[in-house]
Amino acid sequence: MSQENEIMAQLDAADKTRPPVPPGLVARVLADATAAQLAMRPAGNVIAMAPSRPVLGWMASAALAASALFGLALGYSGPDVLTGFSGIADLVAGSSSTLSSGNDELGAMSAFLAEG
Amino acid sequence: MQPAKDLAAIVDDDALLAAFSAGAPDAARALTDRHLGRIYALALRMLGNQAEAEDVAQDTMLRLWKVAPEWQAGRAQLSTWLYRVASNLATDRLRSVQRHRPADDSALDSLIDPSPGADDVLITAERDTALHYALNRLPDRQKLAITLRHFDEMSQPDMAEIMDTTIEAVEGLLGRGRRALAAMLRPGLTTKNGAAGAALKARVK
Repeated sequence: MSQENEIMAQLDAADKTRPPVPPGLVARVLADATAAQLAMRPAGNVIAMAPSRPVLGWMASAALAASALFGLALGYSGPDVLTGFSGIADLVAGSSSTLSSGNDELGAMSAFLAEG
Repeated sequence: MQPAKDLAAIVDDDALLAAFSAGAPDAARALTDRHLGRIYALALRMLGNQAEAEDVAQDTMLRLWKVAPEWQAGRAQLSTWLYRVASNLATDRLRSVQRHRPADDSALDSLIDPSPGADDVLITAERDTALHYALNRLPDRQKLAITLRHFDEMSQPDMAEIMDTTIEAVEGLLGRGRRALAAMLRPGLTTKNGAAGAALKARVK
């Protein structure tokens, strides 16, 4: 057997046991991986952390829309339209009796609003 | 996101890397379990220093995490790519170390199990010690070629890809490496009564 063959045999017979990976190294490698993942998609992570429920429920949204429409209608037709509603008319009449002059105050307020 | 046990069952490295890029936290663990051991072993054999081998292994994996989003499946084998990065980093470090200080032989002892036993175990241990010391004296490329071929049992085409060279060049490096080892480990150095490592160290100094 030549010297080179002997060396090859020796190399083949050498201890090839893989040294154990230090646990600290594994921890550092995984920490790097986490940091790299966060750097890859920061916006995605923020969204993932946000609550999935909607800010308003459907009932709240419907109530909000209805009151907006009602306010719009009231604005176009004037406050007198409120007297068309029986319950509200009584309420307005009751409130007016406690004031010195409801009509005057309403007129004063309209004039004030008209002045801007 | 896939659970850990599913990811561990994925054989394809490319799929694991894609899962990592998609944000699966367990993909990193699966890739680390699969590759870190081999990378660390290669770095340790190349450098003979645990701290430096850990740095090279960590740096290699860090490059993997960074390249993951741009990784093109099927273009290269992940294990080959990792070996190439690790061997380049280890070679750079070796050159830097050789420029600044002489090689630290004592670090190589960590690769050899010193536990006492029967005579044949002792002879084998001495022979391995001598082999590692001799290996450490080889030029970087020859050392890498011998390590990949005989310790990681790689094929010559894989070695050529890792070393970014041709198969013929790999054969040349292996041949020169083996001849250099044979010259250093001449008969008589690894005798039953002699301390092979010490004898070789005395010879090569």
